[in-house]
Amino acid sequence: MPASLYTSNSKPAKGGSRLQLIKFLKRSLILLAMIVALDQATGLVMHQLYFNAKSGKEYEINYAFTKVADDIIIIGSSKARRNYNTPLLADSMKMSCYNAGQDGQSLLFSYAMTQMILSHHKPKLIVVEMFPEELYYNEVHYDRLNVLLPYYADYPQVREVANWRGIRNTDTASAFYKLFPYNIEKIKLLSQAYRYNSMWFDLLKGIFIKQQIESGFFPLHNTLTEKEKQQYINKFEVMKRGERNRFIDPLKLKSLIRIINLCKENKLDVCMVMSPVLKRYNQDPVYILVNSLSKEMAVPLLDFTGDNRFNDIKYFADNHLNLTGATYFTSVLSSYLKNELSNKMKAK
Amino acid sequence: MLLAASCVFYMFFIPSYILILFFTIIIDYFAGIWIENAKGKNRKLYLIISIIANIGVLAVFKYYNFFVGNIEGLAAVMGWYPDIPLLTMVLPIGLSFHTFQAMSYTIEVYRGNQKSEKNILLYALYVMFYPQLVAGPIERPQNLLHQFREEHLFDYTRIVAGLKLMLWGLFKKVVIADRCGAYVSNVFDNPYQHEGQTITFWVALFFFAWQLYCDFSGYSDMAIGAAQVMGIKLMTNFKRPYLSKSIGEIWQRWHISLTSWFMDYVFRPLGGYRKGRDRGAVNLLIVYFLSGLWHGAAWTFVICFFIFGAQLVFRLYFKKQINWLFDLLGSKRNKRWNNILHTAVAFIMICIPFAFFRAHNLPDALFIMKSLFSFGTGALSIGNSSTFIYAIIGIVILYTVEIYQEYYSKSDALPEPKSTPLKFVFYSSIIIYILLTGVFDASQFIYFQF
Repeated sequence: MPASLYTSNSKPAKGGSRLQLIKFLKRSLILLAMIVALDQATGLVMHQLYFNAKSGKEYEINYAFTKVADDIIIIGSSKARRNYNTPLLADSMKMSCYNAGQDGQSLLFSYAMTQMILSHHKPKLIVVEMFPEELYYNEVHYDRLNVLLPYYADYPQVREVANWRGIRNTDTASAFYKLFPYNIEKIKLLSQAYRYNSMWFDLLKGIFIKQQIESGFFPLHNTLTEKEKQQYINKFEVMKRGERNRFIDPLKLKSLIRIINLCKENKLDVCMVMSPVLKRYNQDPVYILVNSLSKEMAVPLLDFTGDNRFNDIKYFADNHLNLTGATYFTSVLSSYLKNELSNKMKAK
Repeated sequence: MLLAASCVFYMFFIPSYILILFFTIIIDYFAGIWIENAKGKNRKLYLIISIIANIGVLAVFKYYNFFVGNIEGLAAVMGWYPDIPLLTMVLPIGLSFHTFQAMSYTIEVYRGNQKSEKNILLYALYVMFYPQLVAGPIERPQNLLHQFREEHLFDYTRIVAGLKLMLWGLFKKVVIADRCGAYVSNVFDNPYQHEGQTITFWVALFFFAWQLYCDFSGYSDMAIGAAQVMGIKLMTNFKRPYLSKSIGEIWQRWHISLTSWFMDYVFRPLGGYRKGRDRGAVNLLIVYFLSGLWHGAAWTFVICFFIFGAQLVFRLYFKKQINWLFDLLGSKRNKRWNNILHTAVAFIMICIPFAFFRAHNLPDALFIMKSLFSFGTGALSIGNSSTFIYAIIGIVILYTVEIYQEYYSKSDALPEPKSTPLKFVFYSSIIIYILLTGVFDASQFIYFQF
């Protein structure tokens, strides 16, 4: 019968104890060597799977990070991905256009994305989708930065943001941190396998399913009912009340400022757009902050959150626009962008 | 050194809260000595002082806001709106665990089962021993205190067994519990968005049952394993409860240290079953009501555990009819079918009240209960498909291991290969699988909040 995990009745003699310690150290070393070898091998296999994937989220991120070469690039969260009809925008603007929005991501990811894009390509315009709610601190947005980890070794551009995962909640002013200024993420990143954490299933799927990257626009097709609209608004209100320590995340604010500065340094046009939402934000501190930032940094902010043209549930699938809404919104947006760009050209 | 390590560990959370621990430690330390030296009524008096101090700390930090909320609610019904100030402090971590452990010390000294501890540092270590300080197991002084005096030589078998247990605990926490938790949050944090999807609510409920079990037993395994590495043997806290064949058996295998605490210090002193079935039923309901209150200062916990108690009472009165129903379902056909049937029914029965445990508030809990039994035809909402698949794989591994332990090895050992080189491959593969599939975000252990 195997030894129980919970009990051990053996009592070694004092002399035997030393021999057991030596045996333990030897076997620990063998185990450690095996873990390192297996970790490296797993990392290699996952690296191959990741960078040769033909579909899925990882493939899309890899495409946007390393291959995108369009004139206009939309960056942001699911609001970007669902609300911006990029083929229509491309037609209307007479420029190629790619929607690099990623579901569930935030400005932290957008900052890493901007750095990665600008490292291989200079677009003419970057549109930053600004969902005001995103600027508040949210633990999940740091968790989701795990998608950056496969790039950590080879692409120094993502390291700053990836490292934020490890210090998000650390009290850097505490005496303990001053004594041991550790970043837990850097320790985890010693493992090659960890860099592909939670990806193996998607990567295996990616081998078998091929996907053509077209515009990055993934519209929603259902239409919201009045009852659902109320539920979304209520849920939002409850969430706001429930978050006791709701505060504007300084790292997200820093990300936004850096995105704008990066675009300016590279002499690209950049504008912030707030696409239509179910509920207006006009008194929210974060909304006021974004407005003042736009003025301070002289970046155009196109705000559609209170635009009555979109005050109709037929344009919404949930808190995002549906295909009808996205098409309508993009047609409105394109005329604004044309004006914005032509004004800039004139100014130049 | 262990005591210093325990202090540092506790102070990682909110340093100043260690003063609360010191307060109860000093009171219970002296109460223990005084109880032992006193005679007659004074013994009881010192015990009561100790219990009041412990319960008082719990009442202030854990239940004050709950009581105020209920008083204000009652007052509002009568048209009176008092503005009673609330405590804005965060609940000290693991308060209910170490308070109960401290109480068991003075009670056992009072009962004469344990000599009072004269060394205050050793007594402080009994309360603060860091592997089990924040989430148990809730130890008894007879089992733990004497171990701190013993010499612990290096024992290869013991240490390796402890490390394996820690690894299995980590696996349960990050690979199964947190993965199931992602799906559960998606459904139960927004229950109204899944209206009409009965199957989604059932799947989320089962996932929550596995999440809760793997989260808590995973921590217990890590605590017991860590203590074992140091030469300290803690009591078993979980014994594969979801393979039980009745709800009564589940409670003998789930959070054993708390269940036995309530049995020893509440149920039996109240008379247990000795005064007849009706009195036994009332005692059971009292114990489960208190157990609910122990879990959290919210009516959702109280109702959840009251239902558990009611299930046991129902079984007490209708055992014959229940067996007749099982016979009707063919439980006598063969042993395997009998096992599967009883295990599945016990699991489903225990899952239903968990809706109250997981819900944010009473209206949400009632909505979830309604949805579970509304027979809505909405499709199963998978959410993130990879999360769902990882969770399912984790659950399959859990059951494979536990069925092996329960029915084949008849021990708690993992199903490891026999040859040493293969063992190395086996354990390093588990570590790599944890790195590849575990959830390494900022999620906490659910039971830390208690």
